[in-house]
Amino acid sequence: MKVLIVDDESSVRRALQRAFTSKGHDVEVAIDAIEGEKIWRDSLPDIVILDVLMPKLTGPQLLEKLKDFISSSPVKIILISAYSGEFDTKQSQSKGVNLFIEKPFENIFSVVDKAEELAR
Amino acid sequence: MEVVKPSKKIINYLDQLTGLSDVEQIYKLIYKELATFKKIRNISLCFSTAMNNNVIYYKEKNRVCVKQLETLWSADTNMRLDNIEDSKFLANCLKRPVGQLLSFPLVVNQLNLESKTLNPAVIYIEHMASKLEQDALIKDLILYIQPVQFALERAFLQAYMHSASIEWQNTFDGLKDPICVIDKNYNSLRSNKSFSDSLEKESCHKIFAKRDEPCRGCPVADVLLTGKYQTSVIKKESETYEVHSYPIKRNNDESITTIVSHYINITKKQDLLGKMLQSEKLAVIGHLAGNIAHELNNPLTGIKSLTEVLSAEVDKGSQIKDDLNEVHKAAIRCQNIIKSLMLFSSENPTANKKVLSVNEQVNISLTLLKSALRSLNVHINLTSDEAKIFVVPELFIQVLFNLIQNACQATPESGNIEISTLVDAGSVVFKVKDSGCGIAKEIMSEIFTPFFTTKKENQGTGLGLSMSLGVIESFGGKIIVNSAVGVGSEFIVRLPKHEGAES
Repeated sequence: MKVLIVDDESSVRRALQRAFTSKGHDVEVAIDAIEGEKIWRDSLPDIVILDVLMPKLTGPQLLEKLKDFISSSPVKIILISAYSGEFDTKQSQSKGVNLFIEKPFENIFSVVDKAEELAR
Repeated sequence: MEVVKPSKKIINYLDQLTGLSDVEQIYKLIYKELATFKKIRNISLCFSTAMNNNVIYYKEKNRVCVKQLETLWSADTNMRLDNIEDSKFLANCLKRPVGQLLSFPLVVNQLNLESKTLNPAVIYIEHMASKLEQDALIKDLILYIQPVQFALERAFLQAYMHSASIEWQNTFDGLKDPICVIDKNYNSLRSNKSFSDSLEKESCHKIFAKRDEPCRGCPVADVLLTGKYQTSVIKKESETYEVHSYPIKRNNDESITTIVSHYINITKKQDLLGKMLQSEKLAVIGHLAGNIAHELNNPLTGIKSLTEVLSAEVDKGSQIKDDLNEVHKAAIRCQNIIKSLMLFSSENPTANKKVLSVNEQVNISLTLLKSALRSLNVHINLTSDEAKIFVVPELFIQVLFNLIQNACQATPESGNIEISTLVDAGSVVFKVKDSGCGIAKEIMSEIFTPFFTTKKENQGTGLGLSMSLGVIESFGGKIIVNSAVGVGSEFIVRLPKHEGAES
């Protein structure tokens, strides 16, 4: 399973990368939404794990930008955020978000499990 | 011999007169002395007292009588013989005819007190002397009557001072604030009722606060040091007083003779101020919480998640595994603090109020606390009234959880915890009472302050009670605490009963 992780917090990126890699998945990371868009378009991941609040471009803004691209692909999107207040379930669903996970994660491996379940 | 006798008699009389300061005694003495004169039938004395009473002293059937007068006697200060006005006045007072009359006015020097001039006192002498005998009688009488003026003056002043003193004490006692006059060694010289009911001569701290030492913060020491007015705040049991101490100096001499302390109870004012500060603090925390929580949660996610990743890779039982466990536990603790902080945040997404059954919420909290309650005797007494409240469920449960958990942590094994709900006058009440350690008086005012805690490092964040109070107040309710050290504590949450339709 090909996973793209887009988060501006390096420790979160690293943790997710290590967890997914340890379960044998292919992981690419992006330090912001702009880099994320580039990798997304280039490598067509099965799962995108996308942070909400990032500088320059937020996660939801990236989803808006890639709306048509997303709707024409089987990609599963997991939105992650440390601040549930900014998350609007319905709006996100309309943008193709499959799952929302609050930070801090209950357990990092549970994120992997949920991603695997989505991609199945 | 004949010359010496009367003068000896007069000296004796004067001696007695100077010892008197009571008008009635003075009248009795005059009467006793003058009644020995031939041709004298009766003697009366009119006098204006310091209390503004006009009175007449007279003798009737061998008894000394005093009567208050509504009409005033003549203000003339000259001696008068058979004055018609005087006779009428006296006859009117005594309710009997008056014969030949001598009127001796005595100007009593009143020192212009209260800038009022009173009538002169008058001694009326009814007599039977003939025209020829009159002059000699007057000459004799004057010797006795003139000194009476000074005796009356003294009597007047003494009575005036007494009444002034009573008036002053009444004024003093009328003041609601405690006031005490002390000497330089803190001994109470005088005080008002509000300061002390008894007249004990003790130190001010002994009387006021039942202390053997001067109260902490007492301004008197500074007054003695500086010779100037000082103020400060002292505690008396659970009350707070602002003390204003003024040095009193005799004349313009620099040395202090006494100190007047005025005590103002500012307990209520302070409570209010404390509450204001408290809600301000809560508001600030609420404002910060959302922002800080987000900023902290991101790196915390990294710490916690990486620990989990590393822990999965390290062999069980190794020291690094244990260390990682510690890091993980610390991260979870931080996570809990942040969660508590976020509950203050008004931007909390769960801030949707619902109509709920209080009993249901209590039962949910009890399930969450099952293991904590296991070692205690728990008595649960829930109201049969299906009382509804209008609150945010997550927040309300958090409050119940906090209060019950506090009770558990304060109570030793096999101690008692009573949890009850009831409906009382439009309010829904939740109570949790424990037989634990209780809360010391000194920290009672602190327990709702954010980050104040008496718990061990890992047991509490110091946010539970402040968060609970903030939450309950935001629902229009309040939290009341009763506690005694060694006996236990009782936390009472009172919320408005929801009467409308469910929404």
